[in-house]
Amino acid sequence: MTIKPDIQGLLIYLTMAGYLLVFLTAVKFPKLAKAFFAGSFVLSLAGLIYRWTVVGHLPMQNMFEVFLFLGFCIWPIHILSRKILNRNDSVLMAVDAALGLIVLFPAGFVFNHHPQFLPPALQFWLFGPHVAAYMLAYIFLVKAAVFAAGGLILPSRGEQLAKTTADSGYRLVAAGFPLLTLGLFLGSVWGKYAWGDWWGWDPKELWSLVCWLVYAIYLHAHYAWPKRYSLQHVLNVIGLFCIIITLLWVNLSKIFSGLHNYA
Amino acid sequence: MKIRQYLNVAVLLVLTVFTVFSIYGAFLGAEQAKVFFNSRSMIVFWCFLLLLFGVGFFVYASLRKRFSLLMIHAGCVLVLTGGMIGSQRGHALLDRLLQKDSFVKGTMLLHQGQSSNQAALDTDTGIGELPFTIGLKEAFIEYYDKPAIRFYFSDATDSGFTIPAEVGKEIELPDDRGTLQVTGAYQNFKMRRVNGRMMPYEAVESGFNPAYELVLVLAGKPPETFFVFERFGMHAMPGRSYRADYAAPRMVKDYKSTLQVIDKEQVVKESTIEVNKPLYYGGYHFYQSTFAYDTSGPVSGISVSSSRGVWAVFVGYGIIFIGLVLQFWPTLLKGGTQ
Ligand code: HEM
Repeated sequence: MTIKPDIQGLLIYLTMAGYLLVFLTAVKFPKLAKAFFAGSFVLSLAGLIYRWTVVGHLPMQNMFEVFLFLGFCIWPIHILSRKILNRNDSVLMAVDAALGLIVLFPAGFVFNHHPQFLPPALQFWLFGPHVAAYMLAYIFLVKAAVFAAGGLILPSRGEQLAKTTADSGYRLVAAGFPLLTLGLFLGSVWGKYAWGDWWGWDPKELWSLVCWLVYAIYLHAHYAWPKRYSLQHVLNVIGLFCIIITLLWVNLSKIFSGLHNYA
Repeated sequence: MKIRQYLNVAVLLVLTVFTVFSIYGAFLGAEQAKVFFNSRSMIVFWCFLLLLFGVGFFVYASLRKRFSLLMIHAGCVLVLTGGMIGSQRGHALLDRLLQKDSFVKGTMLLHQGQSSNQAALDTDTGIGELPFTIGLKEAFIEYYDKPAIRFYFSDATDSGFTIPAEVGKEIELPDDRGTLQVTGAYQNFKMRRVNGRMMPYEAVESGFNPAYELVLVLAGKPPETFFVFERFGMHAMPGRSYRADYAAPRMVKDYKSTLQVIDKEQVVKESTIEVNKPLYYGGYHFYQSTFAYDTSGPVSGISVSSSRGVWAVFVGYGIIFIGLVLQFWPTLLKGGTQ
C-alpha cells in the first residue's frame, strides 16, 4: 500500500472522493449526486490526460494505467446503462459510484506508477484497443453480476424482483459480450504479429477463453430456460468470478508462468 | 420439439466441458496445455464440437434465418476450422490431401550473404522445406557498448536518439529541432533546498545513486535541464514533451535482418525484419528471433511460421463480433423493462 504524493495521485484521490460523495448522496439528494458524478468524471479525465502527457503514449500499458482507464470509464458507462436498462434511479447511481471507488483503489494505492519503457512486444498499435475492449467489457459484465447477485441475495420480493434483475443482467451481458469477443479478436491479431501465433495456450489466454465460454453458456441457458432466473444469476456471478481470476490472479500470483506475465 | 430440448442441453454440456478443459489447461501451463489440446483424444472433442454446430444449423431454423445468429455461429465454425487446419496434425492431413509439403514452425539460421530454403523444425529433429528461398542480405545487431542515454520525443514513433553518458557529449536533433547535451554526472545524486529552490548536489554521505544531468535546447526555447537515473529506470517529467532513460553497456539496442525472397531464381521481395515486423510470403511469416556472431560474421535466427488457417480465424472472429453487435446492440438502445 503506497500513497502517491504528486499531481497524478491528487487527481486520483479527488476522483475517488467525488465517487464517494456520489455514493453517500445518491439516495437522499439525487440531483446533487448527479452533479458530483459529472464532476468526478472531469477529474478522472484530467488524471488520464495528465498520465498521457507524462508517459507520451496511450496510457494503457500496465496495471496502473489500466485501472486508471477503468476509473475514467465509469461515468460514461453509467449514462449508457441508464439508457440500456431504462432506469434512472439512485440505487444504480450508488452502485456505479461504488464500482468507481473499487476500480480506482488499485490505481491509487496498490500499483506503482513510475513510467516504464515498453517491452518491444507491447509496442504495437493494437495493444491499446485490445486492452480497452476487454476493460469496457469487464465493466458491463461486473455490473451484470451486481444485478445477478442482487437477485440472489436480496430478501425475495417475489417473481417481480427476480424477473427485473434477470432482465437487467441479460441486457448488461448483451452489452459486454461483444466487447469481450472484440478483445479476444484483437489479442489474437496482436499475438500473430508479435509472437507468430494467434493463440498460445498460455494461462491468461485460457482464462479469458473460460470467461468467454461462461458467458456463452449463460446466453444459451437464458435462451433455453428463460424463466429459470436463479440459474442465470448463478452463471452471471460465476462469470464475474472468472473475470477476477483472469484479470488479477494470473498476474499477482506467480503460480503460472507464461507470455502475459508482464501485462 | 423434443430434439431441440435435448440439443439445448447438449450444447450447454459441451460448452461446460470445453470450459473445464480450458481451466485444466491453465493449470498445466502453456507448453503442456498445447500438447493436451492437440492430443489425439482432444481431436475427438474438436470434431464433436464442429459436428454440434452442423447439427445446430440443421435443427434450429433461427440459426440459418436470423442473419446475426448465422454470423455468430458460422464465425465460431470458421475459427475452429482455421485452428484445426493450422495445427500440426491439420498441416499433415492437408498436405497428404493436396500432395504438398509444408511445416508449421521452424527456425532458419542464416549467415550474412547466405540463402536457404530449409528450416529446422521446432517439433522434431526434421527439416522443413520452403517452396522458395530466403536470403539474408544483411544482418545487424546494435548494442550499447558504453553507458548511454536514450532520449525520445513523446510524439515520436521511432526508437528515439542515443547519446553516450559522458559529460560534454552533445548531439544534434534532426530537422533542426535543437541540441541535447550531457552536462553533469553524479555518483550519489541528492537534492536539497538552496534559497528556496531545490538543487541537485553530489552527496558525501553513504549512498549510491548515479545520475546524469542533461540540457535540452529546442529551437526558439529556453534550455531545459533534466536528470536521468541509472538505477531508477525512466524518470517522470510531468509537463514535458520528451522522456529519457539510462541504457547499460552491452544492452541490446536492436537487431534487424534484411531478407530477400528468391522465387524461381528471382528476387521477388525484400524487407528488413525486426521484432513485431515480420515478413510475409507464400503462406509463411518470418520473424526475427535470435542473433549471434561466429567466425564468419553475424548469424541471424529467423523463426518461420506457417499462416495456414490464420485468415479463416481472423475472418471468423470478425464475423462473430459483427454478428454479436447486430444481435444485441440495436435492441439494447430501445430501452428495457422497468
Ligand atoms: C462457442 C460457441 C457458441 C457461441 C459463442 C454462441 C453464441 C450464441 C449467442 C451470442 C447467441 C444469442 C443469444 C441471445 O440472443 O441471447 C446464441 C444463440 C443460440 N445458439 Fe449459440 N453459440 C455457440 C454455440 C452453439 C452451438 C454449438 C449451438 C447448436 C448446436 C448453438 C445454438 C444456438 C441457438 C439455438 C441459439 C438461439 C437462437 C434463437 O434465439 O432462436 N450455439 N449463441
